[in-house]
Amino acid sequence: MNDNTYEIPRQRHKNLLIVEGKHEENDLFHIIFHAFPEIEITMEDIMIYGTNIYDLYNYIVREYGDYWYEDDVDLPFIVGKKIDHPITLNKKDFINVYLVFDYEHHDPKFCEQKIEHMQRYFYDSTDMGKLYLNYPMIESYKHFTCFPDNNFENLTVDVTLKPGSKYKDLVHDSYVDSLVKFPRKIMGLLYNHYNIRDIVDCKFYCDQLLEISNPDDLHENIKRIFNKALSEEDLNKSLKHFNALLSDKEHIKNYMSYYEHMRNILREIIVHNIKKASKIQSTYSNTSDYDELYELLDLNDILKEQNNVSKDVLLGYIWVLNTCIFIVPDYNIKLLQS
Amino acid sequence: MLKKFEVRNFKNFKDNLTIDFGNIGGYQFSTDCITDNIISKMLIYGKNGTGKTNLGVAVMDIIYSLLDYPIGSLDENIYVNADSNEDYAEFRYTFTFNETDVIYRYSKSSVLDLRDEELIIDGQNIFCCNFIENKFDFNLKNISAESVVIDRYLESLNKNKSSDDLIEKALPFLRWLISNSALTSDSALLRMYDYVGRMSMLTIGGMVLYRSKRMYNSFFGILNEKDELKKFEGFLNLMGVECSLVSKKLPDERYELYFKHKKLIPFYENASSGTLALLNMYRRFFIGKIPSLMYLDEFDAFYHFEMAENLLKYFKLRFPNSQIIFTTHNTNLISNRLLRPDCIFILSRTGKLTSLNNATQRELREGHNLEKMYISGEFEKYE
Repeated sequence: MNDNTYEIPRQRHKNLLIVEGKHEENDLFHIIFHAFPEIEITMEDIMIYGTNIYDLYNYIVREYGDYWYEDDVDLPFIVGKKIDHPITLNKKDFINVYLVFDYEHHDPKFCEQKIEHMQRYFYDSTDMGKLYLNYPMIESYKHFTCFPDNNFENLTVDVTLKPGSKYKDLVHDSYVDSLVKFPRKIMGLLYNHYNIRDIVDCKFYCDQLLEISNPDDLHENIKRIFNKALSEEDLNKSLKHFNALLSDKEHIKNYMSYYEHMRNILREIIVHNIKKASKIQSTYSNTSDYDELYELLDLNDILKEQNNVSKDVLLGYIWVLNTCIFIVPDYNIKLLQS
Repeated sequence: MLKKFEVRNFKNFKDNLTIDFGNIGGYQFSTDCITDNIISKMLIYGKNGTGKTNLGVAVMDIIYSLLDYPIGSLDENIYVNADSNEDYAEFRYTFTFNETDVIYRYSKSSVLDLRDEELIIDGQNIFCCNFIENKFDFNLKNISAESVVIDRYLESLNKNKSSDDLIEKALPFLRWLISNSALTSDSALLRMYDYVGRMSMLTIGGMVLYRSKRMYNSFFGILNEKDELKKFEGFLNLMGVECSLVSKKLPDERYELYFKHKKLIPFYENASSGTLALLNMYRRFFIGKIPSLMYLDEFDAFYHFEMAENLLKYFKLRFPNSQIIFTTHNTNLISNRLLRPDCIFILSRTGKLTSLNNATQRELREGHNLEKMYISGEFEKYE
């Protein structure tokens, strides 16, 4: 602080992630941003705000009136007010604003018109923000048994499958689910079995273990990581423990780090979802190239079609589709190239 | 056209700074910013003190090598970078004319103190002169100029060495060659000479600096011709200055320009600073020869944002084949409506020039709000 300081210096280059109330989705975003460092976002750079799409809708109406969609909606400003942020937030300080919500057809507040308005208005993450609706829920990114997964193209869930916890159970312990949970599993081991209670240290050692890519010197690498951090007894235990844990992992077998492997997995998930979205949208194109199909995607059309097929309370269905992973191709489709 | 410009150790540009006009992206919009696959309309954005004006001075330096000498005092102290151990600045211009690449490279210790110069045409070395070590290499047959008597140039060099006159001391061989050889009219060298002769820079000072009214007399004289007055009036109207003008020849043979009202109002004394700035811009660029390259430094400093936009559009329309570098602080111009990401550059505090499409790994699209992205810090690393 010097004599010329008259206010808190402006901080920009921020990111806002508005998600469903509970932040269970953080694992996915953590992996996306770690596996695609080109996007230049780390979880530390993100302000996360949990809410529900209809609550958010009401906040917007309260701030801008019923015809909010004719206005220049500033979501960081609204969120700042909700959380009593010490300084007034402004969208001009945010590089990206992502809104990630579940379709939640079974929500008593479900309103086609409202979400269609939201979907139409929030189309640019670098400007007013971009809405990614996931069908039926964000967990749909886990709904794979292998890659390629030919079943995914026709995969639907009945509208009668409610509440959401039933869908979560459906994808629980799927192939992708176990991959995504792997860092959390390591963190749990470090915390509970090796008494590393400082969360920063825990993350540090976890990241070190996830960086290992060579099965040939696995033992040496684990030893190097924990050499100074653990007692001799714990060190010997960790060598056996993590050796066993890591040695049969697919990424290690393929001489890849965990995040390199996850980059490939996410690519697969994204490409499967692009093709699926294209099918839902009935894109008439001769091409099967995902990048050309992606150019033709329209999240509004997809929402309308989902609204259409899920109308019947008994026979209706929802196409399983994850759109929030389109954060990657929205940033740059070239990131999907291997 | 100028394809690439490189400068090093000049003023605040200690490290190499490159303007690569040939580095274009594949954008399908604002195509009027590109001419013959070269960036012809460029916007440079930079914080205060990053050297936007110095960059213009650097680009224009070749004029002193080929044509004019600087007017006014020569401030020798601020030519070379003040933190450098080297006592010279280097310049390299790559032109392209009808698919012939001409590279002219030289280094100087001050604006007139040439150390060496080199000319390469389509990869062939035409000459290389090192005035410090007195080493010369000429291959003039490559441009069919072998009949030139080089000894006369070398003699004049020796003769001028003892001169105290800096201008006499520094006679670039290129300038001598162009003056003393019978080059064909389609020669790339003559085209380069013509190009450099039509390069021009306008600074804020040039736009509103107080000038004696007499200096405008010849311009007012040109406007006295009926069509010219209408054109100038139309230009002002288009820029949002609604006015009618009248030009008169006074009994003492001077010309006077007026705003037309019931009572005529003398233009010069009553025009706003913005309108005078428009007049100076018009006088400089819209009368006479079509400029080849214009460096318009903070060109919109006196204008409302709408007028700045209009002016940029007008320049694009009037000079489709000219290269224009605009510098500005007006973020409103950072827009795909007017330009495109490969034509908008950020000049950093460290003297690096980066186009927006190279300042982020994000795929920039036509619908992106570049202004908002700039303000929120998308390109922060390059500022």
